[in-house]
Amino acid sequence: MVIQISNMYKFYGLKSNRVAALQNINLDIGAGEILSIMGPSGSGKSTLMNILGCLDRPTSGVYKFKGRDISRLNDNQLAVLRNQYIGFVFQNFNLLSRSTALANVELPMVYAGVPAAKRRNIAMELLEVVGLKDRMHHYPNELSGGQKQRVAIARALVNHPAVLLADEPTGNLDTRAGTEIIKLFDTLNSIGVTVVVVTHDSDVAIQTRRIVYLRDGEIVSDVSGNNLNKKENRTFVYDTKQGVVEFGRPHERNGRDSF
Amino acid sequence: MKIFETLRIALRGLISNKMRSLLTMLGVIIGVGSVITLVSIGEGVKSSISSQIQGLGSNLVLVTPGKGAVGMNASSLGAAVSELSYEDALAVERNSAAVKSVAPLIESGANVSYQGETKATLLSGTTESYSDVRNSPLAAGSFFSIGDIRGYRHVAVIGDTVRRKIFAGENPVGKTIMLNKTEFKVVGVMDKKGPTLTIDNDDRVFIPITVAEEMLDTNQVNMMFIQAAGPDMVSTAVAETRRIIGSRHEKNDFVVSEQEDILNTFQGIMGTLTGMLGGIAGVSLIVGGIGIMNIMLVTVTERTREIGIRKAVGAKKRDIMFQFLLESVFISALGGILGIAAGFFGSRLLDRVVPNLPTVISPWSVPAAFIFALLVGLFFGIYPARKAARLDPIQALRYE
Repeated sequence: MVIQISNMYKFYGLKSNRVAALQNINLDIGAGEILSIMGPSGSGKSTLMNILGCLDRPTSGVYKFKGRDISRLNDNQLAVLRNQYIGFVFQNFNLLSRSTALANVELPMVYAGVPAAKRRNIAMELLEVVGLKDRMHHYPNELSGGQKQRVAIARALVNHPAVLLADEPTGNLDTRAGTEIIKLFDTLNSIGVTVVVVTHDSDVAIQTRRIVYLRDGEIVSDVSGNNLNKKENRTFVYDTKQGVVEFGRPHERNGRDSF
Repeated sequence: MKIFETLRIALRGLISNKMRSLLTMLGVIIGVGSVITLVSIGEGVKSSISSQIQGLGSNLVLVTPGKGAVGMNASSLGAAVSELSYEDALAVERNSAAVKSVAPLIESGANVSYQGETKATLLSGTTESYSDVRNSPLAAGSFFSIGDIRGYRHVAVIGDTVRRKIFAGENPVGKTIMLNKTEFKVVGVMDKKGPTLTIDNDDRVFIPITVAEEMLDTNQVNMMFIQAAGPDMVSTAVAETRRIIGSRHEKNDFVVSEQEDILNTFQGIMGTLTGMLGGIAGVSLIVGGIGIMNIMLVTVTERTREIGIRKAVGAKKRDIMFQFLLESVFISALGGILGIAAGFFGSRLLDRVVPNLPTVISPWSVPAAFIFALLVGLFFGIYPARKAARLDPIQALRYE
């Protein structure tokens, strides 16, 4: 298991009026999995993602990353963990605007202490993998949304992370660019990268092999299997009784939460 | 992470905001520049007056009236009534083997005129040995002699400024001038000595001491210059002068001091003054440091998102701390270097504009100002850098 979470809670605010962002989360993610985390806004998806990515700590419960309990780690150890084992992809790309695509991809290796020449080679290779070899000296504002996201993915991969975490990676992209990104995730997964995608988009979710559905900070459904795989023109809807169910055509509303 | 890498990142941060970095730097430039310039004024005055004191003559002992620790105070301020006399001087010259010669001075303001040109000057009654004792050669003619003193002759030796002002190109030797309505014959002209700050050492007229006593109706000597027989005789000369004049006076109303004492006292005072000037300029450096802190706080806020990104991909607290600390130290270092240039320029400029105020760039002020600037940058950079390093990565990433 790459990630093992048991009985985890996350609260915000002070005791008197504290808000539970996550409650009783139990989640195991194995190496080589590809899964999506879904849920309406405010359901705790991002909080979970931040904790998974070691940017935040749970209030209680156990989070083991590759067998290590992260609640015992200090800020510096968490930084090393983020640097060496976790690749992050954000909805709004989060590239350094004053650095070229190449420099952005090199950034994690700078903090890993990789020598400059080696850094450059690895970054160039990865930019080639994501199909941006001819754009590596461009600045983020000279790239399209899809290209920016591919730079971010290349950046997330440079230190060979154990898990790639993507928080709404297609949220700011048009359908075509989004599809390409998901295809890229799929390809990466096929060569062994563990991928966790937070998404609103059921078109994205159905392309993963497992869907975890969150509501009000709790996991209300965790479905995996072949029926989720590679289906087209399907929308998944959360049903209070049945969990995640397959539902008709995309974007059709039925008085219930549509996503 | 390597220092070089951090430096590169810090440098790029500065370059991306050239104008702002430059203006922030200006505070340090002015600070370092003014430290160096002001200290150079202090040092300049110190060395100019020191050389002036050394130029008084060699193996010199000074006798001044009053009870001060070191001479040159009471007489020059005219505060005390002098009990020293020409006879004291003669007694010392006669009775001490360690003393080569004595030049007492009776000084007073006077008007000197020649053919309608009149000028206020300093009149000094002295003896024939003055020129030797004070190491002041003549440009023309000769100094008056012991015969002129004994014979009460109305002869005068004039300084270079007096010559220029009232003789305008004419050779003064042999001419008759009027000193306070009394006729004197010019027998010699002193070499130009140059000014000490604003005091013109060449604006003087020397006459025999006996004539001065008569003319000014006084026998109070303002000060005595005593030349010891040799460098190793100075302390003996001091002791003997004390004994001889002491035996002639009822009260201890005079001070004997070596040239060296005066020099030391003066240099001590000037050192303090120079330190004060440097300190005042140092305050501006601190103000410059506050400017750095201010701009670094702005920078940290502006780059909150960048900090969040760096942290998300694995930057440690100390990486971020280093990055911003290096930026502020870099501002102060570069400002320091430019400030040194500004200081050199400033003191040169001052030399040109105010020739009477000599400036000497002191070798310690340059590294001291630079290191102080670095420390200021470091000190005022710590708070913003810590603020940056402590940012919560999630909040930093959300920052718009």
